[in-house]
Amino acid sequence: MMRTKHGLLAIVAMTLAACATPPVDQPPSLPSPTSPPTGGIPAPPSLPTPSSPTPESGSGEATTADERREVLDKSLDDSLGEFDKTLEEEQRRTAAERDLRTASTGGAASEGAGRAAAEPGSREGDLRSERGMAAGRSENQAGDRQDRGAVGAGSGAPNRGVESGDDDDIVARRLRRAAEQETDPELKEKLWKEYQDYKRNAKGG
Amino acid sequence: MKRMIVAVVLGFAALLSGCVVKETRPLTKLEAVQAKVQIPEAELLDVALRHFDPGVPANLVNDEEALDKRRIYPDVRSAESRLLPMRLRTTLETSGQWGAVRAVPEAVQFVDVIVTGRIIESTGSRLELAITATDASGRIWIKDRVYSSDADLGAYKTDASLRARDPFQNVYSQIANDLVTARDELTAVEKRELRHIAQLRFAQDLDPRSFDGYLQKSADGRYRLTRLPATDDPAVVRITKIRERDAAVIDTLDGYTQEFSDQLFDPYGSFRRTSREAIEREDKARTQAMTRTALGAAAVLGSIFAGSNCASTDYNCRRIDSAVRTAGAVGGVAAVMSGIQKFSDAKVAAQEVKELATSFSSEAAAQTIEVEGRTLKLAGTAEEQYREWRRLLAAIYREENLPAPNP
Repeated sequence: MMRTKHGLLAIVAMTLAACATPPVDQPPSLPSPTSPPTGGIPAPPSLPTPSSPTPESGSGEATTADERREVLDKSLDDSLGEFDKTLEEEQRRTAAERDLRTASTGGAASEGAGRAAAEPGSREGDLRSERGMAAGRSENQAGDRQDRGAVGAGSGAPNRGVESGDDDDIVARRLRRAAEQETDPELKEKLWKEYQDYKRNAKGG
Repeated sequence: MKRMIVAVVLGFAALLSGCVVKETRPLTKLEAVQAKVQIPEAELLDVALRHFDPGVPANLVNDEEALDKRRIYPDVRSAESRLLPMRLRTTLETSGQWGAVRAVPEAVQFVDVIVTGRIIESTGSRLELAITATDASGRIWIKDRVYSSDADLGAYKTDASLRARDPFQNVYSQIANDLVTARDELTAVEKRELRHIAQLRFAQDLDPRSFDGYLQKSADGRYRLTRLPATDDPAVVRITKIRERDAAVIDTLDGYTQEFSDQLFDPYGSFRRTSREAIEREDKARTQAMTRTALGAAAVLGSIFAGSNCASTDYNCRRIDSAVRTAGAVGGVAAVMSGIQKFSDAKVAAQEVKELATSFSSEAAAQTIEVEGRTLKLAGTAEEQYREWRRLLAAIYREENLPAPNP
């Protein structure tokens, strides 16, 4: 009788111990409606504390600290990759909508190009950094700051010997930018030609 | 006594008539100072231009009549809070003095220089902005400085001239030049440090434990660099990756505002031009109304109270005097009536300004809603991601730094 009692107590204790184990898969918390809307933004007051359980700690077959860190690093990289896809998709959509609008407004395309050429920056900065450009350097030049995060940026320069914009003066820069941003192929071609002619004349003069 | 009254009335009328003269000399064009030499990459500061405060007085938000009197149209201001920073952005970018210049919502914080603005007055004929610029260390470059200018009428002449130069380009150029002046007061070392401070504040926000101790915040709220992390520190590598995404988010948000600005470029230009014409008509009619009313009243009062120099027996003189008084009174009354008519004209012109604003507002409303919606959606998605990354970085820190449990 005594042994049966002890046996029952042991079973109850084991069941309770099992219940005390923290859950492994805890869903990530959603942002509260009042949280600041975007990045580069202050941290919410409740960061996870070292003792708080997270989905990653102790998960999977990773047993050593290094292995667990590798798993976490991979999770971070995966998350960054996913976010890149979201951003690229959004940027593609915005660009497509803009092109559609430009096409639907007909003559507005040439008008827009004229404005871009006459007034630099009127369409500049589309979804990319121009840090390199502002410094008088080509955007695509190696060594451009990494932390600008250009996603899906392309100059649209024709592959026929258009020189780099390294030594562009302000007028050349404006022409180059207008050519890069033009979506009408015919106009784009003309603007690149204009740019090249200007560069030639500038060097000749 | 009577003569004194007449003199005062006539003097007042003369003063008012002086208001009729309005100077319309062309404005001197001010240009932003262009960079003459290539600025080293490490000293090239990024600038974030926050969407401006529309400047609608809180106590008048529901008082449409009072807002109309001040020519404040909330929907127009709402669009301008994004449109005006884009004009400044263009000016800063083309000056070649800065790194990336971006128009961003308020939540974006960790940029080398942040410029905020408040619209004090914005009509087709005048722009007045209050500008504040602060760098990442907390140093204030410009504090609530007011920039104002009348419109450059040359810009309104044709559509082409309107596209070529903003009517208030002088305002943007002056702000750009003041920013360059403030930046040039910093040494090369300070500029480099500023860039590090912006990056470290971003890093601390995401991974506070790994980046503890690199910055010191003084009592005056300024951040100072105490040391730099090693460039190959794994925590730095991780933060750099996230910083790239942050920059991409900022670029995308800026792209939305750019698109918004492009779509409204022509309608906004037309609105400002036509509203300036209506404002000019209103102001002119109002001034004429005041002048005519005052002069008319003066003439009537003069006719009544002016003393007579005719002898009591000089009937001929008295007849002439009476005729002059009658003519003065009739003329005065006519002038007052004309003044009242001018007040009416001014009201019509004011109504026209309001209708133009309403028309532009309805044109801009769809785009404003769209850009606001997109901004909120992307910002929300990004914020969710940052939370996830903060959590992962905290977990990585634990694995790297906490002692292994005893077997």
